[in-house]
Amino acid sequence: MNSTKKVLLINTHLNYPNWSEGKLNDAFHQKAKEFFISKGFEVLETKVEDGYDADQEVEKHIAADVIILQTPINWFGAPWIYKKYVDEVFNSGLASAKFLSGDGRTREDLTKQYGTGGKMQGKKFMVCSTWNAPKASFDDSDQILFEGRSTADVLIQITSNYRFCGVDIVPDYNCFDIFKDGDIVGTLENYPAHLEKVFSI
Amino acid sequence: MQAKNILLFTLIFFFFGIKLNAQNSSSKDNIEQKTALLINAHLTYPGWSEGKLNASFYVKAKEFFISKNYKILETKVEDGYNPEEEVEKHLQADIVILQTPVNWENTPWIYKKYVDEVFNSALKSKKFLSGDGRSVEEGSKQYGMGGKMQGKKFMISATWNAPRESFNNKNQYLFKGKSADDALFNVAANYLFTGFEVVPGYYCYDVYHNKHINEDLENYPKYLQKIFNIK
Repeated sequence: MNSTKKVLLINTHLNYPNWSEGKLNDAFHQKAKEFFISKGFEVLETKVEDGYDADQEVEKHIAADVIILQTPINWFGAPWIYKKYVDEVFNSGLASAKFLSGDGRTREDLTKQYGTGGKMQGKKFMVCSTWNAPKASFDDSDQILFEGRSTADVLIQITSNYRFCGVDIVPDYNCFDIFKDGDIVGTLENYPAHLEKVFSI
Repeated sequence: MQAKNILLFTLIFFFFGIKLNAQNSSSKDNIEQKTALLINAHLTYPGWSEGKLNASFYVKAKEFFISKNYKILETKVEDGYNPEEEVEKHLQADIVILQTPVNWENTPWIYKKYVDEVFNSALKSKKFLSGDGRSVEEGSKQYGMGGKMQGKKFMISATWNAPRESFNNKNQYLFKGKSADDALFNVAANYLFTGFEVVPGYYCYDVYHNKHINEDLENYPKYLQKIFNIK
């Protein structure tokens, strides 16, 4: 009986030489890694840019109690290599029926809702992302672009896949305005406290 | 002799005049002809998703815009593209339509690759936007108002496994009251960020069970006519 908890840390930064080299995302990835090691977790890691095997990623997800996606925001989503990862890994998890048994709807019980066919109950997923957007552009209905949306509203494109498979979504952690006035040092420093809180560790 | 000259002169003037008029009217037509860019982002999965449904919606839109005398620009993402050329197509277009299946709650990955490449190109050349809209003088009042594409319109036409009932209902587990437009906001946000007006999407739901596919296809041109206010 192995009671050691496991965390899967996915870093999906895509390197653009001389523009975005991944140091900030790497710093957050390391912070999370140190935190979970200090709490006795076994750490599984994936650096999407370095390549992966889709079936192995499915197994890592199944082994993990906690999954964290570390991502920069490129054009209001994760870099394209992450959507490729999702399409490949979740297609594999769908084909093998390891992530889900279907979309939740059955012919027998018409009250069953769409998206309730997941098999990953009890696991938790969190996004940690770095933004050019400033904090003030969210949660404010006077802001023209996001019209009051939260970071979680913009990240629903990512979190909904995990919810579809039965995984609980915990509040995201964000580093804003990274090219101008963002408090990068303070945000990094406060990251372990956020992890401790949202995962009740 | 004199009368013959006058007749000749009149005839020359007459023909020349017609020619001038003809030139005028044809250049006038060119100015008035609008352009639609149709992007098909379907990714083929042999034996599972071959793209026929997305192609059907795509062709419906194409036929509609041709019937309204639009010039059509086309991109099939899966067949390859040149990012700089895609930037130019966006600059020429009055209307941009993305036709996409929804794979894992969003577009196929090849579309995000297209966006990252095309919008990065336009960011560097400053053809889509001058920045993120925040100026030093004005402080950081509004983020995302640095676009240069004002007057253009963007729309998504998407095919979903999700049924219509899973949206706009707070009691639904997955989307918790969100609309289909909310679910695809990340796609629209890029166009909003560059100054486009984004009009509500056209959606074909529950495509593996849907008995309304033919109806959805049939109603598509009427929707386009209405949403873009085309006579």
